[in-house]
Amino acid sequence: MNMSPAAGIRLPHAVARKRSLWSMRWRIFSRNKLAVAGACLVLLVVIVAVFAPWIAPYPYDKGNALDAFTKPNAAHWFGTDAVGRDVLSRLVYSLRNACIVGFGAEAIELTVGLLIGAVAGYIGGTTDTILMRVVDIVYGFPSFLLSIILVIMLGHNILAVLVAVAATSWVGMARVVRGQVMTVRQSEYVDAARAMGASWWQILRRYVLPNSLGPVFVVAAFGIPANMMVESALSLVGLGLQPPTPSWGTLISDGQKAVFSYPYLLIFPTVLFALTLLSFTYLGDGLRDALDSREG
Amino acid sequence: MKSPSASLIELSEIRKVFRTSHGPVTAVDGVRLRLSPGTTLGLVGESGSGKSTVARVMLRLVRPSGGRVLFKDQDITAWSERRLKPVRRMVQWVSQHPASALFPNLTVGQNIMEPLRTHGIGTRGERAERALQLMRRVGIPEDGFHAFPHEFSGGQQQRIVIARALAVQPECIVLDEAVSSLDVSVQAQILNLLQDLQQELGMAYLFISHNLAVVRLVCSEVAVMFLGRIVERGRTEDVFSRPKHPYTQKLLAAVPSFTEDGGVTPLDEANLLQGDPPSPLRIPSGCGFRTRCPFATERCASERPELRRVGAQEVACHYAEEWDRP
Amino acid sequence: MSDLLSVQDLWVRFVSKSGAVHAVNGASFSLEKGRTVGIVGESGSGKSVTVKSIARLLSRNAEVAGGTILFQGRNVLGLSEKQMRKIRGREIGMVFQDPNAYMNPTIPVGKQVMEPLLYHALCSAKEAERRAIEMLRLVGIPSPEQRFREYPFEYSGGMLQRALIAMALIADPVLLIADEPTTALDVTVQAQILHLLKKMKETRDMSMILVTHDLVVAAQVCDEIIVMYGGMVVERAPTRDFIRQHRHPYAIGLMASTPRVNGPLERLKPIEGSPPDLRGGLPQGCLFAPRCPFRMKRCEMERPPLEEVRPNHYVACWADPTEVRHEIAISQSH
Repeated sequence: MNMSPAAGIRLPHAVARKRSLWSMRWRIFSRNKLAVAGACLVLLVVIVAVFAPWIAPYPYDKGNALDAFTKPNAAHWFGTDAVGRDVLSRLVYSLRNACIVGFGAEAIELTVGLLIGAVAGYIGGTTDTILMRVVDIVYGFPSFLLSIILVIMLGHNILAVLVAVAATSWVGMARVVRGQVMTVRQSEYVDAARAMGASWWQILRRYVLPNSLGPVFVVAAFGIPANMMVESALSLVGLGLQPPTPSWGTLISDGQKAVFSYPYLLIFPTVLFALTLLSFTYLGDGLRDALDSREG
Repeated sequence: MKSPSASLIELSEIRKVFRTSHGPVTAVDGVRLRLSPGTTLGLVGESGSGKSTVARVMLRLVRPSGGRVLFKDQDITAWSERRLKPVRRMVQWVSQHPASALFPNLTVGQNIMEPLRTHGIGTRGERAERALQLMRRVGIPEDGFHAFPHEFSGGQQQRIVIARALAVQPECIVLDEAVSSLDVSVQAQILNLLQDLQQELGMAYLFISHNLAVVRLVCSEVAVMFLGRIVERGRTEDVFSRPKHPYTQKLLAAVPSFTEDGGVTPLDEANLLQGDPPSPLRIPSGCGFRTRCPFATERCASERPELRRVGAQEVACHYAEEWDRP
Repeated sequence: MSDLLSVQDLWVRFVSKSGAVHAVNGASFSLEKGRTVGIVGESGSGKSVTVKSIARLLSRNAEVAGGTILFQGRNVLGLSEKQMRKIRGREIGMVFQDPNAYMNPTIPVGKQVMEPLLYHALCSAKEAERRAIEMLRLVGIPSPEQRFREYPFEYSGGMLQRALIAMALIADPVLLIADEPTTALDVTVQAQILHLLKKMKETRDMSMILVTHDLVVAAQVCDEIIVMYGGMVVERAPTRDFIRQHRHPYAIGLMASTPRVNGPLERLKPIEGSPPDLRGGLPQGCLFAPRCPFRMKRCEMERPPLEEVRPNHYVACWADPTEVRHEIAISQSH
């Protein structure tokens, strides 16, 4: 019997490495122009968010009162606001905060939702019933109200906002994961695995979870802009991030107050916000199309 | 080394009742089956006969509601999954839809190696070597090792499933409608492969099918099921040439076949079973077949016939001797 | 010679983003009035697409790339959808594989059976109901008055298929197309349905096309057998002649691959290889050549035309029939 070197499997002759499931999905994804555009924009957003301190030309909280309400010009590309702060810089930092909340809350959602959904879907029975009732109860709360209550209780810093947003949105993820796991669990290959002698843990780890994760990416991709919206809504009503910390919500709220005299204060934040959300949406759509198809 | 036991797998008075929204359904009722090493036993029946349930009970994918499952004379009916593991290695499964039975997230090579991995057999290299060897044996080109199952046709996928089943050198394979979803020409290839493998490796087969012609080809023994019970059992040639149970007779008459003189079996009204197959929800009292049996009497309604020896085979019919005319 | 139906050099392909699939590649056959023909083939043979083309029931991405289909003298491929709708259900009746998929689960079966009569304004509603009940009785459904009002879920598979046949025949079509009508049914139920179809064919002035993957089923019910492979007709003969004298290597292979329930128990002699890949460009020569044990150089270069080798017996093959028979005889004697 030929022993193989520890490093890899030595096959009798060159066996071409064929495409993997993921590279095929990548091909489908890359054919979708809108999705690719969305992905690029999202990447741009993330880069801006990460490198905000280096990208923003001015600090977000220092303004020269004498420069208040200047229209967009060479020094201030997007103009200045009521207290002379550079709008562009504030936009960049608010994008950063939006991303922190958006991605951060999504991370929490993923962890909690995956855990609860997978356990409920895989074990089933009474465990599933109990867990799903919990999910139903949380789902039944008016989520925005709950977020407001949490933010009041926990404070107005970014971490609190993050938790407040995640507290209600994890249920969607849990439900999707549970549905997927339950479906996959009925598959013939799971039966085949049992007949083969695999343990429950092995079945979950090797066969059920990998085949259940497709929709999770899509839900996550749509979840991030949703989280951003909640965050800016909280700030819009003055309960989220407090000034001078910039948030899209506060920028829009400020802009709205001066819309007739200084429309640029409203236009820039709104347009940029919309573009960001749209790019996530197209990315999510593209992901869904790519992950749904099973053909080569 | 232990002397080979007379029976590999034995099902003793197996009953399985499913609870459905329409009420309890008795899928299998009092089935006795014995599979000896190296033999090929066919299980035929139509939908609702319970043959797939019997297979699942044998594979311990489902717990019987009554009766015992014995593996090499050991009662495994109530064994835990952990205890069953070494038994699972010895009894493998090939099902009807190969595309669903293969792990979609693993390559062909990985699929074939999975049983080896599960049972901790061999090193990585040895497993890969064995997988390639199996691929060669079942006729899958070697460069498919890194490909995914969905890239292959149905017939090739079924070959991969067979290779996977052979990986751990089982003593028995349960084939549940293994060729039913394949085209005729592909089916013929797979049947030849299965026959060759059986002769080469000496495994036992439990071959379940609704296709009588296929069972005749592969199996030396056959059991005919109807509504959860075995109604006739014996050597294939005996049962097919001289069927003694009315259901078996009607079943055989219904299978279209070419005749010696270059014709086809005629569609004779007299040979046809009238009416619909009864639903497993409402199994007739006494003999389950009596509502469709042209010879049913009162006795058939009150007394359930047991399998008993009549001539060369076992038949569950009160009047089996009447049919045993040369 | 009055041909009810004449399919001439039909080419159909399916277009999609990843290319074209050539489902039917120059299929030709005809059907005389009152005859029954069985079209036999495996998946990818193009048999279903061919008959669907007759009724113009192909999906949106299907393209008829050539040929004509003459039905009662008119080229069906040139008719408008409006004209086709007058034909479907009235002059051409259809029965498909899965009765549950073709019956509306929310409408009583009887109402659906009588629908063709009302749609084509052939009689009043009252009369249609009477005829539907008669039809249900004719196809062997007991207590038809009662079952008229029942819903599809209350019928068993075999019963529902009978109801579908009733629906297909109620307007007295001249042509019945049955596409794998018994594939999803148990073998005893299949025998009943085939018997019914045969009875219908004998008692009504009707022609029938039965599409099936099972040669024996076709042989039981049909007067003529057509074998299709790779979208072409490779052999066509009256049933008895076909059984005894089939000569296309694919037909021979198919017969040799079919296990028998009686007669001598022999090892199957399968056809090597896999069904043809009909995507992208088609090969120049015979589509069966790669799998054919009798292939010659010519087979790979040129497609053999369908030729009449004996009265009413057509084969599309370059091989010398006597040679083919000889080889078969030798291999069978082993």
